[in-house]
Amino acid sequence: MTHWVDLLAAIPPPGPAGGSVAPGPGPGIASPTPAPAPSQFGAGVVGFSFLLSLLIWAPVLMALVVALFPAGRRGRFARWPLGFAFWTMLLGLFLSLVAYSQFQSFTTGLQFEERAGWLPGLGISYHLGVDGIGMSLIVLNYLVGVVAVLASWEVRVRPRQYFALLLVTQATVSGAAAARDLFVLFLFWSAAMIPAGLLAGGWSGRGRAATGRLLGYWGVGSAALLVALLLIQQAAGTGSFDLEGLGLTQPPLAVQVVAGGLLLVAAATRLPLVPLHGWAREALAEAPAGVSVLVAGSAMRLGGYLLVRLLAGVEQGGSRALAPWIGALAALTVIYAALAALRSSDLRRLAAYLALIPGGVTALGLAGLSPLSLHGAVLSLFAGGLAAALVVGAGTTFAERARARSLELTGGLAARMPVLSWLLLVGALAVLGLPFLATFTSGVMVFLGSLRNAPGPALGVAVGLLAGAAATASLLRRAAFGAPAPDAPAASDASLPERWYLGILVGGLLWVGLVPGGPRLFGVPVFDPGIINVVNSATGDLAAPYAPAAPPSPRPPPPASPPPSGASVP
Amino acid sequence: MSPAGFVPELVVFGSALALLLAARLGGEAAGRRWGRTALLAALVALGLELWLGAATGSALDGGWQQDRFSLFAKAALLLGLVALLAARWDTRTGGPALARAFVTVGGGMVVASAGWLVGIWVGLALAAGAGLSAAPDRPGSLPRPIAGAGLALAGLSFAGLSATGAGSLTGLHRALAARPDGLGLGLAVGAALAGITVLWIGAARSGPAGGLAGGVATVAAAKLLAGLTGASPVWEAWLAVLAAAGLVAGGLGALSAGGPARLAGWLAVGQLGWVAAGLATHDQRGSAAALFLLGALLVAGAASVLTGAPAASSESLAGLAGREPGRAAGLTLALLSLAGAPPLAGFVGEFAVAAELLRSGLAWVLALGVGGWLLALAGVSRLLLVVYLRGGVEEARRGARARAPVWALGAVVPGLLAIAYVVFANPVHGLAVQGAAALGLR
Repeated sequence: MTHWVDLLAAIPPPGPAGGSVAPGPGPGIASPTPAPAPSQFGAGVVGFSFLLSLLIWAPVLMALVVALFPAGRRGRFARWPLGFAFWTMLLGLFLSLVAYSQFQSFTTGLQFEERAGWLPGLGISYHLGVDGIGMSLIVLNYLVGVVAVLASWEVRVRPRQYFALLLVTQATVSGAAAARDLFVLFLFWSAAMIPAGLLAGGWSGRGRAATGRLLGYWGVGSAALLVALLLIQQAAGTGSFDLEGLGLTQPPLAVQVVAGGLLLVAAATRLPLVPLHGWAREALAEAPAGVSVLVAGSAMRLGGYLLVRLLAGVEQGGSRALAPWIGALAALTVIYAALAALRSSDLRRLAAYLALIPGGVTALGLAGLSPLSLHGAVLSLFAGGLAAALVVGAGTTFAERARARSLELTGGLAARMPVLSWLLLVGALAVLGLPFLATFTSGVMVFLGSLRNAPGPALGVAVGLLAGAAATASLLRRAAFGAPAPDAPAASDASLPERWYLGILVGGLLWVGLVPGGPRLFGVPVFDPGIINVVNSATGDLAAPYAPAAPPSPRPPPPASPPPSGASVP
Repeated sequence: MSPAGFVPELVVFGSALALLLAARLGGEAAGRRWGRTALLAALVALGLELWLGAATGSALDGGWQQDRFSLFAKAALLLGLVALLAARWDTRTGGPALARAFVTVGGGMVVASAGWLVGIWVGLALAAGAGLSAAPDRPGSLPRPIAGAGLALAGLSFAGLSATGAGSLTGLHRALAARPDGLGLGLAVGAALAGITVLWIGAARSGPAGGLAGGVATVAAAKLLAGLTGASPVWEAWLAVLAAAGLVAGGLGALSAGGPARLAGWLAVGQLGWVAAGLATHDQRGSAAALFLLGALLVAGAASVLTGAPAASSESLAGLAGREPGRAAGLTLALLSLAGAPPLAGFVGEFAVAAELLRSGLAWVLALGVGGWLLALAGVSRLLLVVYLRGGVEEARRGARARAPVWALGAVVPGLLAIAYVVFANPVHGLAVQGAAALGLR
């Protein structure tokens, strides 16, 4: 039987006139070096050897409790699922923030590492660990988790099922971010399909269509990811699915390109990138606010994480070969999202389209393949998640409070809904990268880093952002300002839980935007090491293979040669 | 081989006989008590098999063999039986139905240890006869005629092979090694495998005990396939084609299944396709992955008894999560495992087979398997929408007159076994590897 790796290895590599990406100094070790035992880190406040497992499995266990908890006579315990979910998320956020503050941002390598044998016969181990990228994603996930539960304050239809599925979906994102074994990564990646699909369709008016679309697209992505992971593992020849060994050797370029293409398909279904974005409209525009916030804020970020971790981090040759395609998809996504938002007359769909823009910016950073653009892409995972969650959350809440989705009926509501109008404005501008918000920092890094290697896609994304600005202006003119519609239903401003959840997102964006390096008191970091520092501890290793080659040092002048013996000296 | 090695089989067949006698003498009123006794007997048989079956050896002049493959196969069948009986714990299942399940597994134990082809056939006949005797008699239902035809074809093939002096597995391997391209020999073995396949098709869709019978058929096929090592590539490719057909048919059937019982049946067909795909790699690693998945299938497949009446539609399960949370949870875990959803046993097994398929160059089978996997997940999701998100009165407004939910703890056992199968996957996989080595595949 022909081995597929041998088949692909026999394909000759392309000629030197390839993509526009300047080659780096050559294949190197992209994955972080192993770290000392986690208990050595920090002040010992969080020295668990099972911290990551706790962060991943605690929501799953609580989901089981919530699912089996009785409703009680006359619905006495009907609100308890909300309470369980809220406290689980809040305690998890607390733990993750403590871990974040303990994170050693001045060393490379994994932290809070856990490893246990699982199926050694298949090369599978239960291996968890986080570097700066994973740590930022876990913090984002729990922050968005708390926000999603607050956004679900008014869910009273089948609350047990709702919150159980919400907790499981949130746990799968943490698991994928912490996974250091490809099997474990795939397990958590694909485990999100069914709970997210049921959430997308079970509490919206377009139930089966929404569920079917999300399952279809995410299923295709999971299938592509499965084949890619198997290809990567078998091409590495280590017999193990552990990420540590996979970055040590570079498989043949053809294998990298094929695996990279499959990874791109998988990521494109999740980020999403046009044309694999068909599920996003229903999931973001029809599902309850909590579901939309969770999906936009953290579940979608896994697509970008996959490209960062596996494509740029492991398959460097494939990353360079596919960079033009990624750039094209990034530009296409941003332009499409902005134009669709501009044409939309449905408030929630407009917000859903705007929420696609941060994914395009992340993809642009990965297309740029320069250290600066990769730094920006990783930071945009965090910032873009907050921005996307804010815009869909604000749009959903605005539509619910206005009791109308059509922009024909929502005119002039700023006077009656000032808080929501401002929050909607901030959300839309955050997606576009307004200064002083976190997305501005990441966006600038992405653009400046991509201009050299991917000028066309960078220009395309810029044009798309301009169109997005026009869409934002149109949204605010039609939804908040302008003449009130005479037959518009009565509107009310945001309730306390709604102000809290949207305010947390705005606060996060402002905090990271104003003090990305963390607050300092007389030069000493105060409780926040700075998200940029945390992220940078990992992106150094990630970007090293893509750093431009150092210019050759000038040759020293040859030493003066002595006169030959016997020669006469004039 | 020590006579103690036959004790598990004696316990199984003895339990079947005791249940039949008790049913005749005690009547149906004592069904619940028999269910608990039967479960205890199955657990005892499983424990005895894991303890006494670890000693390898042979008896009856090679007609009975105890090796690691037979240990794995028997343990897997007994685990499936435990799952089936636990799922029926809270139902008043009569003695005859329970006895049929024991006879099915007993037949499988005979197949697993048989060294002669006639022994394999006897085991298949026992398993098929018992497993399908409760198959539904609705119009258009063909599990019994199909299984009967398959059994007959396999029997004729075995008779032909025995007549040519290849009546034992050892003799068959020798004959095939001496004449790897022998057309008659290959045809006979192929016909036997075809008969087993037909039996498998009939069994897999005929209910929970039929699912066990399908597992027995797979064990028989694995034993015969060991003899195909070195045979003509045509026969090696045949299994890959069969696997692909099972994967696609299982997925399409699951997506279009009209009721939960049919959904469970088609999911079992799809997962048996994965098992066949693992065997189609014709090497130890692939076979080990296939055996690992077979165990997972037997555990989860036994829970198809939770789907209710075979002809019931999905709407019969609307709001099940509120009425019978335990049954809903057990059904969910079992169906998700059959569909290969993470992080359950079926997912791990299918992943292992997928890795071996790519390594062996059967990427086309992998591609079809992945497609079937997606369709299976979609089919299960449709049912889960009905079970959990349909038919529910708002729980906040349920009045005091609403019935308290029924907690059927036994129904959760198959699902918990599917989770435990993953947690303790390492020793299970290790035994599967030894079993594949004992099969003698390269």
